Amino acid sequence: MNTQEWDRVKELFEAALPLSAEERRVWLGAHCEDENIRREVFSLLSVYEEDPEFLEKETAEGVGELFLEAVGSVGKRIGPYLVVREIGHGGMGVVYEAVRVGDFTQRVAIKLVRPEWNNEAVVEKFRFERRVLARLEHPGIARLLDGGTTEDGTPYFVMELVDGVPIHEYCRQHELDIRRRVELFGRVCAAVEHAHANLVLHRDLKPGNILVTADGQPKLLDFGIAKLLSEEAEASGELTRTGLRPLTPQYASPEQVSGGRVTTASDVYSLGVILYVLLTGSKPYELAGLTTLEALKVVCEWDPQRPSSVAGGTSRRVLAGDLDNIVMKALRKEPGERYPSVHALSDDLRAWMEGWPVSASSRTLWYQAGKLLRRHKLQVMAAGLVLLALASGGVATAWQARVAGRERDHAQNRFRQVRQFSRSLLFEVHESLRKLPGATEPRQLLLTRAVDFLDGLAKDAKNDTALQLELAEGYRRLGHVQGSDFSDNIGDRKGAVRSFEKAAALGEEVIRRQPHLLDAQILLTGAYDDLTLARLGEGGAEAAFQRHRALVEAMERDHPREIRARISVAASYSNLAFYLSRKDTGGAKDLYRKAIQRFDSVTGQEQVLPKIFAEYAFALKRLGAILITEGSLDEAERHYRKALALEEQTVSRDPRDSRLRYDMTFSLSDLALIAKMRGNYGAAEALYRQVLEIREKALGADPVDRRALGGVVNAHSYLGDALWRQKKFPQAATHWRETLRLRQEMVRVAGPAPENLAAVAITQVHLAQVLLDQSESLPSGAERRQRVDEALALLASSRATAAVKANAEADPELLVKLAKQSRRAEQLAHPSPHE
Amino acid sequence: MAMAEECEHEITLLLKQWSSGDQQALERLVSLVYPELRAIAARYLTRERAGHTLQCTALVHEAYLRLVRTPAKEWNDRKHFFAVAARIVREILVDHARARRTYKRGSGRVQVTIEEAAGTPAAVDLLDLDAALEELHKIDAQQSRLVELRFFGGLSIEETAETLGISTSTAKREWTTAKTWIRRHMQGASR
Repeated sequence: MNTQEWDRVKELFEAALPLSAEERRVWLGAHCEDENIRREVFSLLSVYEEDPEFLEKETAEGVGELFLEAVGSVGKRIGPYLVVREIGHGGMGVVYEAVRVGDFTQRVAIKLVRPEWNNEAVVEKFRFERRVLARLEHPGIARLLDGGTTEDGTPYFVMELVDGVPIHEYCRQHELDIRRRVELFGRVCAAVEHAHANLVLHRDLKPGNILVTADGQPKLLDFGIAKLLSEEAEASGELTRTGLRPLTPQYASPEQVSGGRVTTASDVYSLGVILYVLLTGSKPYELAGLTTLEALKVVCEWDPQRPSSVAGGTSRRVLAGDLDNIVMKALRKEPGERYPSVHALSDDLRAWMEGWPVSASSRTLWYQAGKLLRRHKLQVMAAGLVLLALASGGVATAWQARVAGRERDHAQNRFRQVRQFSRSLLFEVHESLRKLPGATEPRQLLLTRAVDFLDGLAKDAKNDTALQLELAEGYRRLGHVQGSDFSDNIGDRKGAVRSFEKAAALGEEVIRRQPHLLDAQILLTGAYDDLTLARLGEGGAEAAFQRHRALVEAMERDHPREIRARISVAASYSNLAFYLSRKDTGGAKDLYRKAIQRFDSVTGQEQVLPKIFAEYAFALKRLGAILITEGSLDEAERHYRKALALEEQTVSRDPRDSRLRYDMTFSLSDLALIAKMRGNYGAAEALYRQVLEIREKALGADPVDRRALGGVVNAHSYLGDALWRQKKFPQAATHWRETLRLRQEMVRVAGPAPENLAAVAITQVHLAQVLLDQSESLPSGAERRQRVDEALALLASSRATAAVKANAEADPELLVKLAKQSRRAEQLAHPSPHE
Repeated sequence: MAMAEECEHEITLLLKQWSSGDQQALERLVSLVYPELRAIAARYLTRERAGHTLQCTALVHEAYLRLVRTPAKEWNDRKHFFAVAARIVREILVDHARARRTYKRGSGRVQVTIEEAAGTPAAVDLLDLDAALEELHKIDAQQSRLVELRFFGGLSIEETAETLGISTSTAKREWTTAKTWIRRHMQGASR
């Protein structure tokens, strides 16, 4: 707007002001022809009419007070402290950062009554806060250090200076995921619990009063309107003295804003609001701009939306269900309906973290069974079957609700349930059925239903980004179930491919609309990775691979900073490399190096989860394996060491997780292989012993674990080999014997499959070789003779086994070894007179 | 005494120089007026003042009286003084608000926020107001100065009108327009 236009606007606006509100518009219509100017004046008039008093009241007093605050405090002495700056202020108190005179390194926070508020009631209130703080000694509560009275009689107290940011800011700055937010919030609960245990109610919990320090410790501040719960306090009248300071209605409970009885449940409510803010990034209700009365009405009557319905992106899925229920239970209007204590709230959060049923969630069979299924799959098989029976009816009803299209909210609600339902249906019920003998038919039925169900929803999902992504994820999971379970069944592998293709098609549709949407990019890279693997050996694999690769590069360009994107990019490079390594190890190496470099850039981040460590370690190991085959042992060793360090770190976080520990043994055994290739058999032996120890423990914990059994057998044979190469024959023989015993055991249990028999045959040859070597080192005599006889028997048995499968797939290596050792054995058994 | 007179003389002189366009005079003025504003504030803080609040009107007037000593002989001098004082108050407050915002957002130390709603001295966001004034200055410098005098200098409509050399009724109208424009601008900023 130029000056002339502005002058004209001003002129018209000022001329219209003396008229009544309606006349202003009419008059303006008649006196202004320029459309732009008229619109401008209209806009100004509306703004003016909203609040004609704007800037009138605040002016004189407010600015003067603010000026005092701005220039008044710095350099002031309070007792033995020197004020450095003001860090907080309010109606009756003010908080300074200060240093101790004579020891400027000691920085503290000092709270004191403003001089103008220095009256009996306020001072008493102030002393009360000090007494409250003195009761509390907890890492989550700012500590009381000292207290006193200034020369002019103003009381003050000195607290630990908390160097931190408000909890919601902290979560945002560190991009904490939902889990880590819940964890952090749990520590706040612990501090509040401590206060409650000491009979102190905080009554003003809000993010601004909870600062998180650099090392991630939340600290509760400001017990300025705290209250003592004890009867003693009540009798002394402290309880009533709360009206001196208004609370923050945004975080206050209905009973607090309406003047009702305040209990621990009120703190539970405030914690609920904070949790809501931390999980969703928005407040359960917005009070800014409302009058006190309106705010009161909102706090006491409005039901907030469920967190999952306001959160964006992927957190929506995490929040739906238990976390929704937990937050909503803390936010009940009736104190009696909330959690009875902060402890109960944090218990539920802990349960959620560990996957147990959550008390806030409805106690339906469906919910309970679903949770339990996840934890004790086999034990609650019966419940799984009940759910399956429910599935057929439940889906149809819910689906009709959607199709009817009326009562939109209601339908959407149902729809959400359906979504959860399908998820559980597929992945919980199916998972439980999988291990049940004779469940093939219901499983197939279940999967067919799931396909129909998702197809039905997909038709209706046009332009609904969240839903399309949700469905695509559903197809992916469905594909995994189809593919991984019936991998030997051509028909179902095709089904899996179809599901992955549907997932990709939905993702591509979203990406056409929103080319840079991270959620869509992540989903698509996953879908194309699935497709690549599912179509291995077909033409489609290459196309999926190429598209996957292009998407990763786009994702990296679009979201260079976002941690989620970087993790996903790293995993994608690793997956791409895995595929490429089949035909182009050079290209695979490049991709693994990219993956490793990306993983490395995120592992410094606090929120990186064990799963990512595992993926990172996997990429390192795969690259290491390629390098071993190329003979680049030094570089290979470096990668394996790094992988091992990551795995150790993961294991130390969760020492009970035997699976994580088991994964370590692969790094150890490949490192042993490297040592062996260098001729360093002693080092190899030490590493193999670690491998054996870990695997034997795993097998001890679960004797039917096939993987662990196979692993133990291999470890014995590797160790036997390393010992043999060091000419430690007796020890080598011990481990080869154990290998043989276990392999024979496996034949007995699993039947005489050719590969099991071949394994027995080759083991016999190895053991025979060790025995023959040992006998050579012995003087002739009974002992030597005994070894040779044993070897002969082993070789005969091995020959017999080899003969059984000679027609099938004769193993040339076995046959050569067998022949060689047999010749030796014969010579040792019947030495020629010349030797 | 001699010092005070000298100072008084200097202030008057500086104000004259500044009004005739000498920017260095303004810097010098600020260096004289700022400590005086601070000193008044400090005295105010230590004084028994339950129930009283410091009005910026009083602040600026008292500063003028203390610095120039003679009650407004010449309005011309006083009005320049007010303009300087209002500008200084604005700068101090904006700095303060900015520093505070930094504590709250940055790596900062917000030690304790005692209630934000009730005791907050000014109900408008100073930084938003400051930004709006900057913008207003670009299209209407006089209105921007007018708001500065009214808001930060605490001057009445009449005093503002005199300072700016316009009629009271014009000042009143301009004030209404200016604050409306600012309000709209601030609404836009907070959206």
